[in-house]
Amino acid sequence: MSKVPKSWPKTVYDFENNPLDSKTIELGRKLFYDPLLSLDNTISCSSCHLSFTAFTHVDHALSHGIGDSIGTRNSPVLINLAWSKHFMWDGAVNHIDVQALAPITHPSEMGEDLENVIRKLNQHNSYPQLFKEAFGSETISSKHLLKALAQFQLTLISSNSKYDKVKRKEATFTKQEKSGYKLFKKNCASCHSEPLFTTGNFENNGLPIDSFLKDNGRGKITQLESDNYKFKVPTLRNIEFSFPYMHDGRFKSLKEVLNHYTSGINHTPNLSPKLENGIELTSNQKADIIAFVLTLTDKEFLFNPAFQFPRDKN
Amino acid sequence: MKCFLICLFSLIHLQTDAQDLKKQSVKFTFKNEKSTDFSIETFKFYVSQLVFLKNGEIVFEERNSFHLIDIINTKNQFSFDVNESVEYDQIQFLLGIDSLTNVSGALDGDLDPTKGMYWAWQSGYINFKLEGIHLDCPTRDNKFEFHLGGYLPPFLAAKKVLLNCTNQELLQVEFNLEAFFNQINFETTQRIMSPGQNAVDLSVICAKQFRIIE
Repeated sequence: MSKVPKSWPKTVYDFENNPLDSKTIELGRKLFYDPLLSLDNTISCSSCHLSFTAFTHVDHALSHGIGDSIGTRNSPVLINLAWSKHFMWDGAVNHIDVQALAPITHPSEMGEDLENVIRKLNQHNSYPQLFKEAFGSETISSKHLLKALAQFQLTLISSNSKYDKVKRKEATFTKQEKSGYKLFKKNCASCHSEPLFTTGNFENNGLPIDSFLKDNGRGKITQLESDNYKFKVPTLRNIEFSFPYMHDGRFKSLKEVLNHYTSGINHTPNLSPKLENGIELTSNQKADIIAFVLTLTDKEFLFNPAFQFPRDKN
Repeated sequence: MKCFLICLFSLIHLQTDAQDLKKQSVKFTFKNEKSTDFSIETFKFYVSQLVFLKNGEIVFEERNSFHLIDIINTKNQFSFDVNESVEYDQIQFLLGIDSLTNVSGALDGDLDPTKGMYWAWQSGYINFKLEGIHLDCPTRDNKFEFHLGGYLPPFLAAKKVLLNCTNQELLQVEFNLEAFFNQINFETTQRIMSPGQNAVDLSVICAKQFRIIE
């Protein structure tokens, strides 16, 4: 596990009762990269969550799954998930342990049946032994499959960006980054709060409603009108590599994102009160903010061999 | 001294011989008098938080009380130890799974998500699943599907069922399917598959269809 700064908040995940275990993490990593989890053995978790791009689906506005079927959302980054209370853009999933159920069974993602995955794993030539090493039982259950996948993902901690180093007084911001940080704290940090760069809350950030997708976000989950068009505030860590942006990947660049906040806000129902009047920024100030958010790039995270395809394993 | 208690859920024709068991039993059945009008393909529900009461006070509480009842596949009984000196005049259970359990991650046993009673696309247990054919349904092949669940306020679908009974050798609990169907307007309601007000409304109706056969 990467070093977690002491000043960070308490994790949502209960590590005391579910301690991480190196064998389980390794098993989870193998499963994360294994297309066996999909119906036609073509799509693995990593198909839409690539380590080099902060575990999101680079270059695709909407992520695609088996048989070239396309989903309705941009796959979210997998970063610092132990601090997440909700998963998915709309918070449909309430616990990291059960998160994997959604993509495994979604017809446009992995399209598989959970029981069949368990059957395939139990018949596999190496998984029963690996599960035995991790959980003490050769018979593979859904609980152990899900726990292993969760444990690997819980290790995906990014806390070694330039920003973190500056905070630890191991580095210093440039003049532009410093100015950007100041502007960021004034204009962006009420939703993208340090140190996780998200509150984890649901907000409507004033995007025009996509007439094709008609995605009402959180409202679909809670069935409350007051939650319509709200989506989870994403972390900005490693944002340099996690394009395209927004729940439907509509923006390709950070510049487009900032232009949205300054001049593109739509007054749709439940617009975040913080965005009622948009954000005022000059083009120089936008450049400064971009310089600052680029300090959230954590190369040790992005290129950590422990997060990549397990080449040394069978 | 402990005695063994069996809760048995069954179709009306499936009888358990109380003499054979020589133990206290609780048996759940359907009341099904108009069987020509409908057929049932799936009938599963969770019974949890089972307690026994005497004069309104809890006298017995089953530990780890989570039971998936699957009527069609006759997985309709479960057993647990209860002190034989326990006297009770009511039993109470939750029809479904409580909110805390719904946010507790991957679980096993009857709560294993492979049991077909967990929504993958949106976390949460299906408390009550009834699928079949009813001739009043204006749907393809007259099919209806009710998947009732939801643990987020204000749409909590798990409902308590409190039933009067007497201390007796065999407790039979009946689900009155006919009465349940009589309260559904199949012209407008044939499919409930997600949490919300419709699921709550139907869950309230479901919870009222249980009774003890004396």
